[in-house]
Amino acid sequence: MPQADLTALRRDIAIIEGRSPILEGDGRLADDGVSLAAVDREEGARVPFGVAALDRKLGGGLPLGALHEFRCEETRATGSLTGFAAGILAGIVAAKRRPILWIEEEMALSEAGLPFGPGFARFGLDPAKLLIVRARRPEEALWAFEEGLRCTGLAAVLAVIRGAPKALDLTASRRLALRAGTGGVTGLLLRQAGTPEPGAASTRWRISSLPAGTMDGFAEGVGRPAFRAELEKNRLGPVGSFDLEWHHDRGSFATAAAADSVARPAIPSYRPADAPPVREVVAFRKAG
Amino acid sequence: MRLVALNAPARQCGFQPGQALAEARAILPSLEAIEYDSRADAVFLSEIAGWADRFTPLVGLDGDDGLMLDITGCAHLFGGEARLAEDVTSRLRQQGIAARAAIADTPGTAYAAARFGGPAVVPPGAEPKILKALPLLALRIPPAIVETLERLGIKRIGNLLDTPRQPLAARFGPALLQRLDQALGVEEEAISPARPMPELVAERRFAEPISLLSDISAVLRSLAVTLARRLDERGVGGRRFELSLYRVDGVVSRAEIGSGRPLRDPRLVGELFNERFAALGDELDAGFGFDLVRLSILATDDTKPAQIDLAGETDGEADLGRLIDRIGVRLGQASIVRLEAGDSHVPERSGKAIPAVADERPSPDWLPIAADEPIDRPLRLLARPEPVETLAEIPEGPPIRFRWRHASFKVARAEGPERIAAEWWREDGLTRDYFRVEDRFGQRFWLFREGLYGRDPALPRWFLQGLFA
Repeated sequence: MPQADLTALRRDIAIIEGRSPILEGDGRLADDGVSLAAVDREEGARVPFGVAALDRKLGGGLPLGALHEFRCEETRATGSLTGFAAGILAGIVAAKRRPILWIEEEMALSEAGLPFGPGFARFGLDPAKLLIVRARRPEEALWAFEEGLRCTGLAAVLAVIRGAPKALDLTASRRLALRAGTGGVTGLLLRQAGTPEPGAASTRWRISSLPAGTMDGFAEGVGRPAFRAELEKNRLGPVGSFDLEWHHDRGSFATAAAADSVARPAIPSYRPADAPPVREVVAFRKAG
Repeated sequence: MRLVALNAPARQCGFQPGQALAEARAILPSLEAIEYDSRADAVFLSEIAGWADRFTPLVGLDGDDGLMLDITGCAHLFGGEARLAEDVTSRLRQQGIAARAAIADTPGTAYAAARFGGPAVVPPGAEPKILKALPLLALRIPPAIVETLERLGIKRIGNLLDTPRQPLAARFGPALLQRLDQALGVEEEAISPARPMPELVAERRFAEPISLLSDISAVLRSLAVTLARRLDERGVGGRRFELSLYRVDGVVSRAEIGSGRPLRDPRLVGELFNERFAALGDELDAGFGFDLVRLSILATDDTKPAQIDLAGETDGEADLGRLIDRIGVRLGQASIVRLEAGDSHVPERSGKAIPAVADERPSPDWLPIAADEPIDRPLRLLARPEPVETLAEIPEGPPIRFRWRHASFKVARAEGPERIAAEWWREDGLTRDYFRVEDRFGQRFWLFREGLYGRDPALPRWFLQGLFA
């Protein structure tokens, strides 16, 4: 039987069995995906990461038309935070072909600088798709964020906010999540030096940096950007930690392969007590 | 110190502008003098000019103590020329400003009549008769020429009119006769307005001043409806709107909005102004209320017919345009930008930000890199390169440790140098060697060494300029 038929059959069986029809790299069906009932509740389009283990936990990918929160613990990790979000946005732009409203609060901006066009062009996110807003205060940034979520001409709205301003409380977060849900525009809230706080976001991630992955011919140098993405909160349930690297040539994430070739950094001492344990993550199940 | 300006009682005492203050004090010890502040005077005059555009949009500054209003076609709105002149002076008097006004067919005659005791309204054709009795200074000619003419016995403009023109032109140049002709209306003279002339104006006056924001919004809306009709007739839309609120006591508040697309819909104009009011907050002080509200369109543009495709894409684009306008009005037009590729290799100049409100789209000439090359430009560029202390193994090589913002970083891997030299026409530019550097935790930075060893006088300095993903 041809591979395509086999894949379709497996998908049908998965649906009958009430599992999410996520396929692994070799076309076989994953069997530890979230239940279909949960996916049904969270209807709507998704943008896959291209990493089966991660997409499975999200029911197929990052849901569009929802609010997602990303945080980094230290200001100097803003580069990784920006990169991870840019990778997601590249996927959303490819799917929706509309511009992105990118909001920078002045405080965050003075700490980590402005988005740099040539950098985005090389990263694989077209700078011409970005509309950059500079807000003087967090209140202004959140106002623009909410306005952006209402705008049908946008693919996504992103705001970088420093720390935990008063304006961004649970009520504000709920309002933003609701707005994202009704408007269909995806909201990414980037919190520089942010702490895990209760919020209404569909997913919350903690992003930190990993040593860059190797590239062909660049074994020694600084290659593909790599991240550790810890899914701290997921409305579908499963959480976990994923080591990912960005392939700018393909415009997608992949499991970081740097683990063997580059010495793993020691676990930083500043990890908070409630951070999930660091462990190896295998993207593909072992055969048999 | 000398006297610059005098009030009426001081003039009656016989003092003259230009007189020494010490001399004047000797004559009248109780003389009160305030130091002359030309800048404050200029600001005050331009504020009065702003107020005066309630009579006509064409208000020009006349010297440092006068205003010239072009009231062509405006006088009937105020009940005739005499009434208008009276209205101007009485309103100024209420604000505590002593002023004289004169109306004439030429700016030159109006100047002479207002400043040298002519009638309030010079009837058409009566210019020579009025000017005849006035002194030569009334012609706006340099004092040196006046002095020479007076020595020749020509003291009044009447004398000048009786003198043959040929010798005058030969002796004093064309300027003298030009001024005379301008006053008589033989030669045209234009008034250059202090503020840009609006393309379209709609206004409403109130016998009973209004002060509630809701009232202002309602008035604004109806003015916008009036303008929309006129924009429609011309087939254009407004790009820049200005709302002027004239307070009873003479203060004028103005709010301006800009739009990325030509705008006609009164509802959208109202919405944008509401955003502006929200941003202004308490700055809009109604005081005793406004008795004149004016909506002007400063710039217009052709409206392109909207084309709606089957997927309804146009809706989204129009919606995006409205969003850009709203953000521009609320946070300032400079705070929403698009990125455009710059034509320089120096990172600070290799990307530009252009206001999103401007209609032009950036040219999409960003260079992607080959698939097998690593990303060599950071996602974030610091506002300015920040100096770092470094420790390098070899002088030309990358650092093995560096200190940035009081934190120490140990370099695990480095890639470089990429040498970027400043353009040759810039004198201040030093050659930079860029390194992509990764620390133990995988954080990637863009560092550069400025200057070359041995060639530049100061030791090379290190800077951190960007953050990689």
